[in-house]
Amino acid sequence: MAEKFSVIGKSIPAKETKIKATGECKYVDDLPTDLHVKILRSPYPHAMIKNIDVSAAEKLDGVEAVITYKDVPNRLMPRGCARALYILDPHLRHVGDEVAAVAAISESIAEDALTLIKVDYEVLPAVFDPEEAAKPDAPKIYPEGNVYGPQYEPLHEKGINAPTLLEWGDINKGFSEADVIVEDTFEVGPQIHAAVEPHICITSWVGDELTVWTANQVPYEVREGLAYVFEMPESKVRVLSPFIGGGFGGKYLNRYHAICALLSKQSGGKKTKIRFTREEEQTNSKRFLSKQYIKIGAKKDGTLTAIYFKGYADLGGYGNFFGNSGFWGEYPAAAYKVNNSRFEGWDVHTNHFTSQPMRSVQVPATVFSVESVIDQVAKKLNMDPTEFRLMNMPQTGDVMPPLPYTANTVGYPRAELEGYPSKKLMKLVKDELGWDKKWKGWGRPVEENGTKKRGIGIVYSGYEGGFCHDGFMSMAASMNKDGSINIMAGTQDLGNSSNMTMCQLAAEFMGIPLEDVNIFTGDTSIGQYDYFGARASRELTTGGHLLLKALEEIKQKVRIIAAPRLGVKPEEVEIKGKMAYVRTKAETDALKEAIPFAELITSSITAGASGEPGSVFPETAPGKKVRNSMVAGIEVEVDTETGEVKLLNMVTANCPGKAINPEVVKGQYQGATIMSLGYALWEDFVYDENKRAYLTDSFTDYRVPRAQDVPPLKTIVLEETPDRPPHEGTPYGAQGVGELGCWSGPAVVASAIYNALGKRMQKSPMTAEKVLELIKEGENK
Amino acid sequence: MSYPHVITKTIKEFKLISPTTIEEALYALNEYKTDTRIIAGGTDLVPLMKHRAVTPKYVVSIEKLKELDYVRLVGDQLRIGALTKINTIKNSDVIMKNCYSLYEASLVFATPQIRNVATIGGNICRSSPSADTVPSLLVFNAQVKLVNQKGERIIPLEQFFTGPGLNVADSDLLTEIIIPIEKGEYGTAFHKISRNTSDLAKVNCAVKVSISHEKFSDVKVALGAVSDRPIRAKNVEKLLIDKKINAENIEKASEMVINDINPITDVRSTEIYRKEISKVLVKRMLNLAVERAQK
Repeated sequence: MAEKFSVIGKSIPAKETKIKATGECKYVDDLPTDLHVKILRSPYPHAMIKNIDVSAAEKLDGVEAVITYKDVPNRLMPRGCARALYILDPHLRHVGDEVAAVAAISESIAEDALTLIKVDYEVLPAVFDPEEAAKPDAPKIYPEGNVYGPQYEPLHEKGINAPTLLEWGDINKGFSEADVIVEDTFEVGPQIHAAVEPHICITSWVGDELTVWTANQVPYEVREGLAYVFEMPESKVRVLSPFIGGGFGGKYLNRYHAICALLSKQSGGKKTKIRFTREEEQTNSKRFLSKQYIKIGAKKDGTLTAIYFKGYADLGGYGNFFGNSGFWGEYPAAAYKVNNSRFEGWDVHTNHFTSQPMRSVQVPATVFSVESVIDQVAKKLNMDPTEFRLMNMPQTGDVMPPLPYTANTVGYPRAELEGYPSKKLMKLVKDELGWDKKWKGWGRPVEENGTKKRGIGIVYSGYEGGFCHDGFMSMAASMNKDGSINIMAGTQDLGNSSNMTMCQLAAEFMGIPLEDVNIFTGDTSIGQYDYFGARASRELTTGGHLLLKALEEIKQKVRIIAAPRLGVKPEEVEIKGKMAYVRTKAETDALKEAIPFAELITSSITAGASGEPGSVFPETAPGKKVRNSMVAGIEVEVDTETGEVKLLNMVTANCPGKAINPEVVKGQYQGATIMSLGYALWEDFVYDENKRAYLTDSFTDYRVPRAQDVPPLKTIVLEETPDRPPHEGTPYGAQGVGELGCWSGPAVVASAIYNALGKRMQKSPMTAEKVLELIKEGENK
Repeated sequence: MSYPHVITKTIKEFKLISPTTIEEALYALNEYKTDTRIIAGGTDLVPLMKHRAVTPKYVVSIEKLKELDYVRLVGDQLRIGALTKINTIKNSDVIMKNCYSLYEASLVFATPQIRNVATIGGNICRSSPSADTVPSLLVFNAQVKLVNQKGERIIPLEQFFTGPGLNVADSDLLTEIIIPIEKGEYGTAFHKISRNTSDLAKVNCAVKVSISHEKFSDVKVALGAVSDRPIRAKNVEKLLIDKKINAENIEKASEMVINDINPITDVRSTEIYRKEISKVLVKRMLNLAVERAQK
């Protein structure tokens, strides 16, 4: 489209950027409180509380309320977790699980009070490996078994162990047609979200009304959960989430909201605050630890014939979100043209703390495993790995096979890909990295210098980001008499400038200056319900789509008002720049007769939009499908004496459809890519079973990347927009951009290490210890 | 350490004493003895207090004892005041010229923010096995001056440490580090292997070699994070002294470091890895120090 835009496509800083930089911005922790909460946590990974005595804690001066499992409502809090939860439970399922909680006039007194609580525990056997935990004789974390069955068929409730299964074509036939078959196993550790702002909330009761201030990605989920557990109408609960210091998939409804609200209630409604310490934050939620078994078949000419995938993911004690990693299985089908595929995704509870999504569900693990095997298949076929991928990757216009849609998988009907220039992305990365000059063949270093060997790798990923569940969100917009717009959003800005992006969309669509658009979000009293909240990059895709639908309705209302005055039919009226004029005339003539809004309307015009109940496929024209695509390339240097991996240069190419705010888009890609490099190399998660301790509960020992660790990183943004009206499908063809950057880290680093050493890493993070062990192993893979 | 039953982040109440003279500081240390902790930069002490790993009733701040903040060359001795910040060491020409490995350690010591606050005296008195300044001080045969109300004593730094977080100081204030500087040709080198930037060491290593007639006239090798305290690798040293400088001798001697160290597996690394890279580090630092000595 050659259309010229005046507001979108420009890198405009978010309105709150300045106050965030100066510290004027008030986060939840800046708000006043009367009481402070501290939580007594389980010292055992699996235990039952036999006796608990809080009398001494209650008597301590300054303590206002103490709660244990005996004090909580007999109602299971829905949502937020895979398993419904009591606010407190005598059955403790991980080290750090909540045992009791105290509200006091200072944090220090609350901490002192915790030391006075006496607990007798019955220690139970624990299990930490998801594959072990899936076995029938494993210690039972839930009476009905540890396997969390497919959500669309919750077999776990009946005690039936079953994986989430996705199958199409005929997997056996696929392998029988293959000339080359490679199978291998892979493991990834958990990754901690490590948001700068720890989990926090303040609760207070006035009469029978509960107010919650929290840093949260899904305020409506918090409202729904608390209203249910306290047996009150949702209308009596108000949840505000003013600013969030990073979420990354870690900030949903959680027990601590309910603990805080109950303590607040018991202390007469006083403002009560919980703020996690860094140690609590680092042992509260994580991306899944998982194991993957992959088998891929291809013909001599390079055509893929079958992909088999089996994975075990640890949900931890509770498991947040839908409680599963089922989405991961979909990846190969989405990423490669293959007609025969089978997935088994086992989601299993363990005695680790809870797993949650983190910039997508388990995609980085899947990309790591599948791309590693794709590499091995290419090697067996003696094909350049980039050429092999080019041959098998779908691109814009290709028709994807239908995938079964289930409640826990984003399936889709047979659909033509839109905004998926995968092959162009591959070529861009190859050129930028100098692949054709540097690639020396399989397992052969680009360069050798004493003990140092350099290797390059390129991987590709394509998956869903920017889910369009328009049936689960609503947006409202109001046009004022002066033509300015107020947006009442169900979505939430979690610090990624989605509010600014939304304002840019509105300004562009209405043809008005950006200053004339305001957005209201992060408060359930706005009343635009949003089931999923700010996750899966749906703020822009779903929220933006609904916003433009609402604005289109406003335009239509104005057209109807203006049409008789202009003497034309409504469809001939153009709305732009706070005026209505006749579209069919030459613009200069039309503008002479244009009617300003001020003369047309005498009140605000309001419209709301939501999809059909349960609707999930509005993102594009019927029969089409938007997907995110990304190609990443890296050059590394491995020190063969120490196992250290130095990152020399990295290139990624990504397609955002339309980049509404290019710097925001780039920032999302880069931030996610850096996160994934941390996941690949340094972010080791260490639980010591003997000490019953998570040793990586601080930034001292959980090593997120520092600025100096990041290699020169070129981020190529390739736009590809469809030819359709902006309000039909994703807005202006924009795609979600928060996730795809983080998919490639482990895969691309492993690929480059392979080409440096001729040996393949099968466990991530690839710490120097593991790389040195691989070097010393001596056997070629 | 098992998982803390209660995760504390608030500091237990304590009395802060801020002496303006060394005498006042010594008085306080003598008066309150084991209930007392000295605070300089506080980068180690404050986190320990927040976790209530230490709960002193009195904290003696030596911040006002500005007379302990100096780097000076006195005759053939380099003297560093205990209150000298790591950043001062990083920016000191005298240290860069005479004690290059200590300068190298200051470059990779934690983060700029910590370097601006943390002191060399604090790094020594924390007595962490992985302290980044210590291996360099050990290879220079540094001594430390300990002062208490009864008087002062000067002891070799090597004798200061008694275990992880433990040292011989009782009611003493460590006031000065004394580094003898020799006249002849010598070269030093320091390197730390860590998980990523700004991290604590998996292993750190400093080497000082003196050369005469193409032979090692003296060799000092020290390592951190491979024992319960920073250590000298005397088996390596012995094998090299008076030997010809060549790759074979260096390689052979480096292997011997295995007899000097006793590493553990912890959150940062493993025993096996630490043993492997100790050999590599010693070899590389010896080669680098020789190269520098020959320049």
